[in-house]
Amino acid sequence: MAMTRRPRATTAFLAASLFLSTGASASELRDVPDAAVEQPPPASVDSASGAASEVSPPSVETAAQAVVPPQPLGSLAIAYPPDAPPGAGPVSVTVLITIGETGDVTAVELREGAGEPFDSAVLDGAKSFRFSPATLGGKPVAVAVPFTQSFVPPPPTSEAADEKLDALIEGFVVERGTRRPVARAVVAASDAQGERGTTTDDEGRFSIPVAAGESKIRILSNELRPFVRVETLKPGEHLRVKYLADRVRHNPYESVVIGERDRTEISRTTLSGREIHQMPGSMGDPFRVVGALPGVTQVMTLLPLPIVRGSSPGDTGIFLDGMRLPLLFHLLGGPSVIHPEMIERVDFYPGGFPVTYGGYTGGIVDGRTARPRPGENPIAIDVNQDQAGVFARQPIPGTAMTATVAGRYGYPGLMLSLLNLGISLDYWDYQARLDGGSPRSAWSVFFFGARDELKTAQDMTDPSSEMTTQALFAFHRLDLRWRLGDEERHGDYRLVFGYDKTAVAGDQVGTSSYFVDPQVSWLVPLASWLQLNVGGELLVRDIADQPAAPATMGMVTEASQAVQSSGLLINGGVFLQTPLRPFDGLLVIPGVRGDLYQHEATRQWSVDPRMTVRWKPLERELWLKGVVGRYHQPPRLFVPLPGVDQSMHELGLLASTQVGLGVEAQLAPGIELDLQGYYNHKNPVVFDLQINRTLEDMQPSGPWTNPGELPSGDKPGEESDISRFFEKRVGRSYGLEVILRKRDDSGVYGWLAYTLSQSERRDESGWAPFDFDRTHIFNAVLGVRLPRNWEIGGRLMLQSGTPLTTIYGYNASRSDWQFRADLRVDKRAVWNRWLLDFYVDIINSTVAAESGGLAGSNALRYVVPTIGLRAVL
Amino acid sequence: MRSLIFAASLMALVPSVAFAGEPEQAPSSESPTRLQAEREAVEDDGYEIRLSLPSEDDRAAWLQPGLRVELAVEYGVLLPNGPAPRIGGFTAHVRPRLRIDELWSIAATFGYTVARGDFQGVRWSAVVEPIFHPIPSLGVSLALGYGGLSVTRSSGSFPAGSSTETGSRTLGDDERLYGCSGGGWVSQARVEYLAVVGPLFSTGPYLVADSQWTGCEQSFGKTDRETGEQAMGRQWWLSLGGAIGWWLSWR
Repeated sequence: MAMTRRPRATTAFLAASLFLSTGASASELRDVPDAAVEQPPPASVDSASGAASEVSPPSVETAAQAVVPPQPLGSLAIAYPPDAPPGAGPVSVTVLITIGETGDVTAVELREGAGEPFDSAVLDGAKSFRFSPATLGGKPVAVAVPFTQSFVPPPPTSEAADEKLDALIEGFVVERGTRRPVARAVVAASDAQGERGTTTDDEGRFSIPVAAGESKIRILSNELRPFVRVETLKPGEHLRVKYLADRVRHNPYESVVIGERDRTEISRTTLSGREIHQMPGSMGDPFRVVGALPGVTQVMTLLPLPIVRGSSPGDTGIFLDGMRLPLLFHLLGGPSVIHPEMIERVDFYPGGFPVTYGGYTGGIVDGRTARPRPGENPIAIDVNQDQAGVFARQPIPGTAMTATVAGRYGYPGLMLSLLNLGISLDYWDYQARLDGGSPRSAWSVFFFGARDELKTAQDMTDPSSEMTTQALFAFHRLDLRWRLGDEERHGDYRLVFGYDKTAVAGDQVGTSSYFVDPQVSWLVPLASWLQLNVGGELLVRDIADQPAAPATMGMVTEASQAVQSSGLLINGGVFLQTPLRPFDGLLVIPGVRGDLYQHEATRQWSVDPRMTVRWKPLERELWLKGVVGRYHQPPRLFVPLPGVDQSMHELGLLASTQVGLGVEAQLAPGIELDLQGYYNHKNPVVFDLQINRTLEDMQPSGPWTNPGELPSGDKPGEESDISRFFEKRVGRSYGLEVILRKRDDSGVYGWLAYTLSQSERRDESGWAPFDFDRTHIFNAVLGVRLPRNWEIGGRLMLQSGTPLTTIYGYNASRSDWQFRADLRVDKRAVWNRWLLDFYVDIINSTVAAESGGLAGSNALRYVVPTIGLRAVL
Repeated sequence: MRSLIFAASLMALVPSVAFAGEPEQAPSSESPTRLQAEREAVEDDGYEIRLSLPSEDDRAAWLQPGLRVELAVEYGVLLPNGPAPRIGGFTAHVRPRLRIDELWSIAATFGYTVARGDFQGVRWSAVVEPIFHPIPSLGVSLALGYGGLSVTRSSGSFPAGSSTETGSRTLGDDERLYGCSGGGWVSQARVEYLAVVGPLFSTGPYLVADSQWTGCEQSFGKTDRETGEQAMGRQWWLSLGGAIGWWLSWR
């Protein structure tokens, strides 16, 4: 990890890199055998930081990652304490060393101790270390690095004449499952001539003479479980062995943070590692984890349609490496369309996102893929009752390229058939990627797509009747990327080709389209305190003409005629931002974005100025932050579908003004508090997700209305009317978001998140709550790693009910509070050459009732257990 | 039939995990019946593969305090009792269990039943289960917790008279609900036997007597225009029954 000091003597966290590895290839930079500060080699720093920011829209933090780590001067060895209790086993002690601008150690802080006298030995010994100072842009800066000292009892010794040791055991000690060498483990042999020992080298190799006959071999290491073996050798025998030892603990999703990312956005939350792959209730899907963050609720908790700060789901942009995704999740609550192993981290902006993102007025969810690391070649196969998937990554011999393939096939119809609902669903997705080049000229070719097909029984009263296709969604993308330059100065060039298809009601209603989307951006340092970040993109989409839906389909006909577009759609965008650091501790990012939206004869354009400020007024880890900005978007359907991205351009652009203020503090190592308030003014709002009609529009036949039906607003003799979806309204949302978070650096991770919010819409009768407004949203997430490769986790969600319409007014009442508890258990089993993960993930383990948000609708009770296996080769 | 397939699939998914993590070589001398000839593998580079001998007896390992996680599949039925109908089907259980010492364990058992028959839907339960081990592999427990039903009648019409209902009310025992959605107390008495297969896996059968007290609610299909809430019919069901099942246990 690197915590660097700014050239003007202000300590801050810089982002060296953040990378994710599977258990097969994790490199534990925090493990420092034999008292050496393990520096991430420059190549991995470059590649890893490249992975973090290579294909993202250029952002300020990338310019700050040109850090040269400190180098030790002299030995960093700390001797085994002479007063250690006899019989003490292998232990390790981790401290955080602050290295000043002169290379001296200015502070040593205990992070993970092993008791006395080991803790004191490391705390005292580390103070005498000397380093060449770290540099940033050539200037010395202070850094804080973790240092782990492993203490292994010295190997036993006993006097024995060499001629009596007439046999030899040599070989390797490696980890069972991963086959990684175990360095600096003690190998002790006991035989008729006494006891002796040796230590494995960096490659896990050892050689130990023994007496002929029986020898008891023990291997001691703080990383390994006790290993005992009895060998029987003849005189003069030379035994060559490979001892497979079990690790004390494996982490299938180890994320090693090399420094914290320099935060430039006030409301961005980044999740990685176990947080995105093992959060209870997420089914291992990185994008579902966003639902447990502040500012987010859903139409229904099982359906991943996010309501971000009171915005319709269509107003929140879903991206993959800065590229829009037309569909994020498979149908009926399925997983995301990207294999989770492809995702390294997820960046979530509930608002206040930078000018590099355009076309949305709600939030932004951006999943980031990882560039392959040197030597990485895992193969992972996962199977559960709903789907099967594979992920494989392999360097291509003789080249500097790495190939990655992944895919999944879903068969939730098996589970649905058990419930006899007359519904069937099949889906698949695929990803294929080729990475190559060098740290200064990196390129990738990424081909991916997905398809969902929903069928229902022709006779719903007879679920076994013939099934017919009711909905089909598909998309394909070819993403070509090239980065030229280093972290401080680079150009990103990108070309995306795509195809989208949506068909419902047996292909009677739908759309298909092709598009091309070139993108370019540059990051240039103008001075030590000023950068220039500029870029643009041009999306050209050709939407095929579709036959008109049959008039017999009633409201579906009317809706499809309204939202279907055909012809040429052009979106262009340019942005410019100039991050300023006028003095140490203050970052100001003014920026502006311009967008053009053209469809046939309709042309709309917008200009969005935005500014972010981050200020660190004290030496402590405390930041004050603020954002203000304008955001525009074209009218979007409230549920994103492939090819149905924008429509009704004649209505004009939607707009919002967003203001935010917040405080961010590091309370203790690995524990962070983030508090922010926001106000969003939306004018106009169109295509809002609405379900609670005004009571005047509901025409009950008696004193009662029938639940479960959308109030049609039919007056006797009149046709159904969907025009309310196209009415322009004014909206506002405001609130407070708090998150207290524990980073995954000690086997425990989690967070407490609370949102206090109001989201409203105004019509002729004044302000009223938004149909999906929830005043209180509380989430608690906890994951704990246990001995013998067990992990357990839980998530609790409690949120207030949604508005209900009564005789006292539109949305004048509230439905009941909603509660949900998710549980997850993981177990890693280690075989000789591979690892097997077994997991049970239960969504809504208490089968709590949940209203569908429809006024007076039946509450839904559900439980979704997922039982799966994942093999890592 | 499909439930059987599901249960079989569940069983098929997990057995490989049962045998993972175990050393290939012979167990300790304290369990001679499990002694096997060692199988020495030789890698391509000429080095012989060696695994560690077990560091403790398998049965002794299972008596050690610590976490176990268990899965079970059972078949059971709740018998008709007054207004409560017969509800039967396959159940999947997840049970994290903490072995306290040689005599006692404590567990949290979660069960989910796919109900089939006259009433279809889901039954669930979550109980706290202190377990007494009179002998190491035998367990006897009394559990108490909370559970619920979300079931509807497989056939038949909406309750007669619902069109005339004017508000929420509690139904008499002689009236029948079309469905039930609600929760209440659950109690269980269980006897189980776990046979130690290895240091990390054991398995065995169990019998359980089961009771559930459910506060059922079912919508009459009307909405109170003053509150926006549904008019509900309510009834209490006391269901008694039993089941037979099989545990898979890991430590």
